[in-house]
Amino acid sequence: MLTEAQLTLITAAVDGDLNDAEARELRRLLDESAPARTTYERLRADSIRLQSLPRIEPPTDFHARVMARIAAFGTIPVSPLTRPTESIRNPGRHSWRRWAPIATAASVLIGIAGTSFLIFSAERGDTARNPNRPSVSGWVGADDPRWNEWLPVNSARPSSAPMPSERNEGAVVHEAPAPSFAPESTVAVAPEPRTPDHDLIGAHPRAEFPNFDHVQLRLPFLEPLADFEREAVRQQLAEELGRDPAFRIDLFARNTIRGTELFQQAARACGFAIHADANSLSYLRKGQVTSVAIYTDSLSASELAALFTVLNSEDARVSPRVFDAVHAMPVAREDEVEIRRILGIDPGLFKRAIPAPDRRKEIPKGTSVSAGTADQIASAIKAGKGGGGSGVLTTWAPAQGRTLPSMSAELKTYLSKRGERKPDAVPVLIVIRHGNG
Amino acid sequence: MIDEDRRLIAECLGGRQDAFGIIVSRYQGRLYNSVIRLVAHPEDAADIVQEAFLNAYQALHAFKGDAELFTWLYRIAFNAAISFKRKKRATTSLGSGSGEIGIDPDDPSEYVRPGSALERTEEAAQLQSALSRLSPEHQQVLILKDIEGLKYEEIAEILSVPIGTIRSRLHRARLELRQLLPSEDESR
Repeated sequence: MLTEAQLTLITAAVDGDLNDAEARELRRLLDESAPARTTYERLRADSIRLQSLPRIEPPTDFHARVMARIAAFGTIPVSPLTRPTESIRNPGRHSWRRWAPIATAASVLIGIAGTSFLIFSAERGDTARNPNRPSVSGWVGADDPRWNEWLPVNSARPSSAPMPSERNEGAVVHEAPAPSFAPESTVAVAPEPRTPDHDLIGAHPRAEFPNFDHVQLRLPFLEPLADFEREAVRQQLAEELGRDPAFRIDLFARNTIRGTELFQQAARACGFAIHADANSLSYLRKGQVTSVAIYTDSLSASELAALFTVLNSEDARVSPRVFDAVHAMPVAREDEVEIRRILGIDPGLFKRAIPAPDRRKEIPKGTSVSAGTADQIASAIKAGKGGGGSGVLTTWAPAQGRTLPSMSAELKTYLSKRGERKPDAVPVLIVIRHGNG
Repeated sequence: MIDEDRRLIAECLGGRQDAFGIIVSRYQGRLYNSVIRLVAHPEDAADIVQEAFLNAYQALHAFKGDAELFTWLYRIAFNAAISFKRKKRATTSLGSGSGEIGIDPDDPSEYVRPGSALERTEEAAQLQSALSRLSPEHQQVLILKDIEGLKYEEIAEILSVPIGTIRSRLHRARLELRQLLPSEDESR
């Protein structure tokens, strides 16, 4: 049973809140007490799990909703608000703020309408001062025969357009053309659209498309592991791995723990030594590691293809199968950074003894990759025709759960035994991870 | 305080609402992620964070700038969430996957891995369930320390309690959470 002081020390360690003396005390406690070790490991694992919780994003329209509320509220009040929350909970309290602009606009509109009405009413009233104008009561518009009396000879009757407000008797009336409708032929026709001028300055430059004689597309390698029993697939992976200096291979598994065990079995069958970080395996078994990484730079392309062939045979022995697809891509910049973090050193992924194109020619056709059963391939590798390499297995995700390179004895062993890279070896990062199905 | 935040606040006070829109964009994700862990319900979390932003907007002139803007926003949002929980009292659990949208990958090279974001959903639901059963004080410190990765000083600022209180709350919260989570054998 741990004391309260010991528990406090342990939780402080999980929070990274120990000074040197406390850290020494904790180390002593963990060395002496198994319950303390268990408690520390469990609390630390819980903390890592919390840190690894997926981030949940707000709804896509969240920002718009907030800004709509802000817009409805108006500008920030100038006077200090002592209790801002109350104003939100009681929207009626400041409802005049929202209605004030609308009320102002409505008042202006009513004012304009009223003024217009008065002006036009006044104009109507002016007809009484014009003795020549027909009275409003007897109006028949432009057809009124009395226009002949009021207008000079040959002058046209007014059109049915709105009547002028003033018509002085002595005013000179120019001969206005008789109101007539324009014939259809004279209706203005829109000009033809201009032809586009491709030579316009400022027009977007249009690249001339070259004529291709031959187009070659390179797709990433993506095949089910089960297909590694086919020679063509094995050869395809071997050729793909010869095209770039370093690769990342994602190995999708339905169960990461089982997948890791099978991979270790396959590696043993091939005489390929895997130094598995003990902490990573422990966390993996507890379900706190979601994917593991195996790094090696001691196998050639054909040996790697052979290793996957043996892995396929191991996988075929269990039902249902554990592995799904194998996906190989050249190592990206982000992967390179992560590999450095995992190993604690720069493995020199892109240091090449032999250029990639030359290496492809070295893949022996009809040998270990393309011929024989998985057992024969494994035996051939074990017998020294290849293999004998080593790699390191550690946590890939969550990144917070990785063992520090300086704290992993297995990693140190791997690095000390790693030695010089073979000229035809391909550095690969193999990530065993959960698949979609 | 971050200069950018200071400038945005000044522009808001000058009448530019779009400056506040930038503040919302900047902090909505963090606030929502924390609040949803507290209330365990996506819609409630959205309402609370929305209300918190509106409260912050109204009281922006009263923000003195002696603390970080995000700690101030956290304080408003957490207070709103605690009031909400007191009123509601009924604990709802985060449905499996119902709120798990937009999951950030831990894997830095996620682009090579199509459709694997749900691989930890079950574990996340289990952890969320345990978290929801803690007292609000314990939930808050764990969320702010482990999920948001804040320092003791920032947590103390947000919760308006001394740093020593944060330490002791964290201690008790970790032990309580451990009791609520299944043991190793069950989790396998």
